[in-house]
Amino acid sequence: MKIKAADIVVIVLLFISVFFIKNLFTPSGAPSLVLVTENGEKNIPFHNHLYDLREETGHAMILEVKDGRARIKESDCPAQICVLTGWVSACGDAAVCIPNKVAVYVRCEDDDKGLDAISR
Amino acid sequence: MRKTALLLCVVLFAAACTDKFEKRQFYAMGTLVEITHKKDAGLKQVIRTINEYEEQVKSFENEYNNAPAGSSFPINPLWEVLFKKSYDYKALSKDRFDIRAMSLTSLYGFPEGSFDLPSPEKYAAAVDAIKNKPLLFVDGKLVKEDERLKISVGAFAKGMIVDKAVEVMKKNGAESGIVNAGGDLYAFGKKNKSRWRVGIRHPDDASKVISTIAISDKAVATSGDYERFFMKNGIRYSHIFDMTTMEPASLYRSVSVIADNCETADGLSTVFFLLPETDAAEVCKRTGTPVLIYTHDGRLIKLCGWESFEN
Repeated sequence: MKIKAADIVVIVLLFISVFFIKNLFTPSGAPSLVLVTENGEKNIPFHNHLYDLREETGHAMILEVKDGRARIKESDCPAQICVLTGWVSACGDAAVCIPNKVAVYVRCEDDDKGLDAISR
Repeated sequence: MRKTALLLCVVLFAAACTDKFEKRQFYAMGTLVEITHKKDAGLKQVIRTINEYEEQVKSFENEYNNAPAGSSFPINPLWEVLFKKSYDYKALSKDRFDIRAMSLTSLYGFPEGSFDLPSPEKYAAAVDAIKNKPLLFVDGKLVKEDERLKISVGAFAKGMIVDKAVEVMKKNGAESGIVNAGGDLYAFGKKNKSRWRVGIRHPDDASKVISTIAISDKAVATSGDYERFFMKNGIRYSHIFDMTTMEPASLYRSVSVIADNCETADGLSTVFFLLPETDAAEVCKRTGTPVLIYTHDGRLIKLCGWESFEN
């Protein structure tokens, strides 16, 4: 497999984002689920739901959100590290699939707009 | 990043000097519930209340939905209220809203998936049941006439449970706080002598808001097509179905409603999601509730005094 420069950037970004978020935001704020793919970041609601990530990632992957936790339920990657990571739920927790360049993590941060609540 | 960190410090510092509120998050009613409170708001009791009401709502729905034709169900006081409310919303929406929509939406996999289009036969059978089999009440009992009938009061039960939670907080002496059940919220009292600031989420970007309002002793709820939906053949199937067309409602991206209690805000956000603009403008006068609509082309429609809450 040939590794391109862009691949390395994505991999590094995945790592950095995970550690950065974990260190900085651990104690406070409302958690949100973030799905990171090659196309960028996307927020996932905490509603119980199964997501087929095939269209989004080009890989046979299933993301499961249940009872406030998320996990990569199935993945076509060889090492299955993201699947074995199991459920993520605490601030900064992440399931990362490097070969497919997919990560799901729990981001916690204080909203910076001075808002007390969000209706959605 | 340095800017973010700096901002965070400022926010934290500012927070330290003022009214102290804590936030507690937990999962109930199929979503993330966030309670903003001061110490000693009796949170344990509040959470227990939420769980108890959720159980009362769910168990009746499950019993009814899984029962064979001919079964009958006694109606407890809570469900008496829920049925009555459901007919109010049905009337306001000109029959577009109906708790029997579940007969159809469940075939698509709602609320929790996995999602797919139903077979034409199943679809036709559900439509037939909804069109021809209204809920049958006999001697104060609900009788299930047709096996295919299913009900869900998900459109407004969550809001009602938020109201119950607020009642418990107030009984425990809380003078201010917010109960936010996945976007359906009630904010009571004040924070630092000013009203609570609530943002309405942008349908396409969770980090943006389309409107910011200041409220006290009011509820806000939003119905949209961006959280509970699935895509099939390039078509978006959202969870709110119009019972006059038997198709997913697709008039708007999102609708928010301000009301005096969360049950009303919750139910009406679904009703207005189903109503064409001219009807919405007329109905909100009757209900006395400000409405914010976000359209497919990104327009904001503000009805019945929504602007007056935007500071």
